[in-house]
Amino acid sequence: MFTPTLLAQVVVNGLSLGAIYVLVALGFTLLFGIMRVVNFAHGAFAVLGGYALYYLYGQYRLPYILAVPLSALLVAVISLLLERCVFRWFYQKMFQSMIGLLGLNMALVFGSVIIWDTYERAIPPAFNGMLQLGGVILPLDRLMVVAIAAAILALFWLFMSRSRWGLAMRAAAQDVEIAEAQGIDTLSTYRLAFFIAIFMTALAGGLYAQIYALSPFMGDRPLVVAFIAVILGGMGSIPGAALGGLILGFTESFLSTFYGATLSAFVSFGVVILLLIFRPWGLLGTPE
Amino acid sequence: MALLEVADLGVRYGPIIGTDGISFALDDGEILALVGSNGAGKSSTLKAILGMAPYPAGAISFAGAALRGCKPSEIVRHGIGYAPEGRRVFSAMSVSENLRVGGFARSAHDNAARIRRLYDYFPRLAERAGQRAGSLSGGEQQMLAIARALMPRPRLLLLDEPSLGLAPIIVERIGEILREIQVAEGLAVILAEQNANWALSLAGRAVILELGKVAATGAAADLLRRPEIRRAYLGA
Repeated sequence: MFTPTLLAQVVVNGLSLGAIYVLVALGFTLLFGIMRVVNFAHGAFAVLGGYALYYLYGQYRLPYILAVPLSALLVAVISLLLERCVFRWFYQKMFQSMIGLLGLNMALVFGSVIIWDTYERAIPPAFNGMLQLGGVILPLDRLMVVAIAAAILALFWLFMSRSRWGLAMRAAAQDVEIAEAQGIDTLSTYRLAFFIAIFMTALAGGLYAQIYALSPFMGDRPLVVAFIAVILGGMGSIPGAALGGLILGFTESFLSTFYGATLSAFVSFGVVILLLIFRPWGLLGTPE
Repeated sequence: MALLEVADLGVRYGPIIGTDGISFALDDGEILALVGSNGAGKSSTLKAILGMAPYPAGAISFAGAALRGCKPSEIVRHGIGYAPEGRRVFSAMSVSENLRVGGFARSAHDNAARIRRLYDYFPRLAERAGQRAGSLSGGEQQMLAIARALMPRPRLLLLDEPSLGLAPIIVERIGEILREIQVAEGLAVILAEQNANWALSLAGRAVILELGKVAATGAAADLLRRPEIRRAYLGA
C-alpha cells in the first residue's frame, strides 16, 4: 500500500492540512499570548472566511488569487466591530474570555444558520489538474493551498521579526505594562494583533472550506485542532503553534489515509493527553 | 519655570494609600534623589508621574503641560523615560531589540544613531548586542533598562531602585555613567532609592519620604550632614 504516489499524496495532503492548521493556530496563540484571551469563537471566524470566499470566488467569480486574501481581509475588517463591542472587554481576563467568547461562538454559528441555513455548500476548486513529477502525481489544488499558506506565513514571520509593530506585539506579549511605558499604545497593539489573527483564521477557513465543505458548523474542527496545536506547541509560543499545526496535519493525513479518521482523531488527542502529563508546558513553551 | 511640578500628590490603590500629599519640583538637568524605606511612596510617585498609578488628589505638570488623564505611552512622548523597579527587560528579545522597543515612537534612522550613542555610554551592552536580554547579568540588565528608557532622548529619566540587588562596584559604575549622560545631554533624573548614601552622593537635591509624606527636603550635601537624617536613613 505504500506506493510512491500514495506516499507523496499523503505528504502533500499533510502539508496542506498542516498549513491550514498552522494559520488557525497562530491566530489563536496570538490572541492568547498578547491579550490573554482564549478565543472559543475562533472556528466561527474560519466559517465566516469560508462564506466570504464562497461569495467572492464561487459566486462573484473574482480571480482566485485575489479572492482568497480579499475574503480574509473582508472578514477581518468587519470583525473589528466585534473587537470594539466584545473582545475589548475580555482583554487580560482569561477565564471571563472563555465564557464570553463561547457565547459569541454560538451567536456567530447560529447567526450563520439563520442567514445561510445548515446545508453544505461547495466552493469550486481553483485548479483541477495534476502535477506529474517523475512517477509521482500530485493534485494541483492542494499544492496551491500549501503555496498560499506558505506565503502568508512567510509574511507573518517577516512582520513579527522585522517590523516595528511586530516588535511592539512581542513586547506587549512579554510585559504589557512596560511596553506601554516605552511608548507603545496598548489598545492599538491589541487591535492590530486581533486583526492579524482574524485575517489568518479567515483565510485558513476559506481554504479549509474549499478542501472539505462549507457549513455553519465547519469551524468546530479547526477550533479543536487549533486548541490542540497550541497546547502541543506550548501556550502563547508562536513557533510552538506552527510546529503543533504541522504535526497535527501530518498525523491526520497519514493516519486517516491508512487507518481511518476515527483512529486519527483518537491518536491526536491521545498524544496531547500524554504530553500534558509529561511536559505540560508543551513542546516549545516554557515551564511556569 | 520648573521642568516637573508635583503638587500635593495623593496616589490611591483602592483603599490603600500610596502617597499622601507629596509636593516637589525639578529643574532641567537636575538629579533629584527620592529617598525612603519600603512603602514610603517612592515607586507610587514615579508611577503617578508616568500615568501608571491613579491619583485622585493633586496635580503633575511637565514642561508646562498637565499630565492628568494621559496614558503612559503619551506621557513617554512628552519626554519622560522610565526604568522600572526590577529592571523588567524583555528577556526573550535581544539587547538591540530591547533598545528598539524603547525607541518605538521614533524612526528607524533616529534609532540606529541613538543606539550607537548609547553603546558609547554603555560599552558592555555593545558587546552583548545580539544576546538575549534574559541571559545578561543583573548589572547589565539594569544598564539595558536605563538605556532602553533613554532611547527617545527624554528630558527627564525616572529611575526606580536601580541599585537593587547589584554589587557595590556595579552600582558605582552605573552612577558614573548616569552622571556622564546628565552632563552630556542635560538630562534631569529622579532617582528613587533605598540606598540613600549612593543616591545622595549623585543628587543635587533630595526629597526624603516617610509613609507617603515628605519628611525632609533640601540640598543633598546638607541632608548628608544632618545628624537625625544620618541616623534614620544612612545607617550612621
